[in-house]
Amino acid sequence: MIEGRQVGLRLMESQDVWLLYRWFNDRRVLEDLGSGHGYFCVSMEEEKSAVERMLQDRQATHFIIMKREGGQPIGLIGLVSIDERNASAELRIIVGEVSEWDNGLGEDAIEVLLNHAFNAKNLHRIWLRVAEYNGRAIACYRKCGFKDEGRSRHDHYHKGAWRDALLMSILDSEFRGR
Amino acid sequence: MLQGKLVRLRYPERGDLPTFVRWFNDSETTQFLLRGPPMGLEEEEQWYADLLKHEEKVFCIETSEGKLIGNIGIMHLQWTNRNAEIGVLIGEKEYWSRGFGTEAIALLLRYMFEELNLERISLYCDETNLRAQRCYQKCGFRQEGKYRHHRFKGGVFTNDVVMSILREDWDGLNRT
Repeated sequence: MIEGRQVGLRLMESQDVWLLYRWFNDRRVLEDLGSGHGYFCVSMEEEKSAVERMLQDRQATHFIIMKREGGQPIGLIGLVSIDERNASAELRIIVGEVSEWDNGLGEDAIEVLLNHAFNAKNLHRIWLRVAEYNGRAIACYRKCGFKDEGRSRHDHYHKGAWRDALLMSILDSEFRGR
Repeated sequence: MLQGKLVRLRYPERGDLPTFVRWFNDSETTQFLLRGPPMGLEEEEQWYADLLKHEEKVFCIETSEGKLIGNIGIMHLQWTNRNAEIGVLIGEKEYWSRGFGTEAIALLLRYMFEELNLERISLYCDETNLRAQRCYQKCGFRQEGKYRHHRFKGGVFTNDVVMSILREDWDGLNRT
């Protein structure tokens, strides 16, 4: 467990599949995720094999976000596409418990993960992509110190139209300099 | 391929293995290596197959005429700590003491600092192997300590010197 102010991160395990199954079947969670999770819902079998793939992927690490008070699991955060030679990785996060939204828990989880990425894993750059219409997430990433660096035009098709995704990143020097 | 003046470094091919086996069966060539005779071709083929699975790389040292004279490798690469070890062998004895190894090491150091972005490169070497230590010093390595009784050879335990070069040492050498 690595601890922040309000949340801690523990490594995801196979038995967490039921959490992911529940979160990724909640329309409110899927609504703003964009291309990565374009499906309407997911079966238990599909989620099981997705979790196995995530655990076997040596270029990825996934954590369950736990509320420190009470120990309730509230979401999933991870680094994927970890490129050790160039010291970069992509960040992905969902807060699956909708009742916990807007309490700064996601921001706290990102803070813990960035600290781990830069100060323990010695990475240099963390980047992410976010759907242009996901204003709540974009505001959170900016608060965490991510900078806009580009736009993936017509990144995915959603609600009857092509949608862009924003590309954002933070460097180790920026994280330490805040 | 890393190209220098005297030598170039390239990846080893299966056809290089009999040459490696010949070097490792020569007790003079291997006197300061951790591994000596006997070595078999099938054993070496297994080593080669394992090599393809690692990020740790071995390169062939070739003269500008294309003659294979030795090999040099990156070992124990740790990305998070940005460090690695190197090991080098000039297997063809007529190329000893002529600057071939020194240039091969310099080429590999440039690759490791400027492409792999490492912070520290270290090696250890039999303390009686003064020829090698002088070569490493020329390349910018400094002795930083000893591993006592680190190897067993010829019936006795012997000491190794530990040498390293940091990024700041490399930058100092290349500031012009």
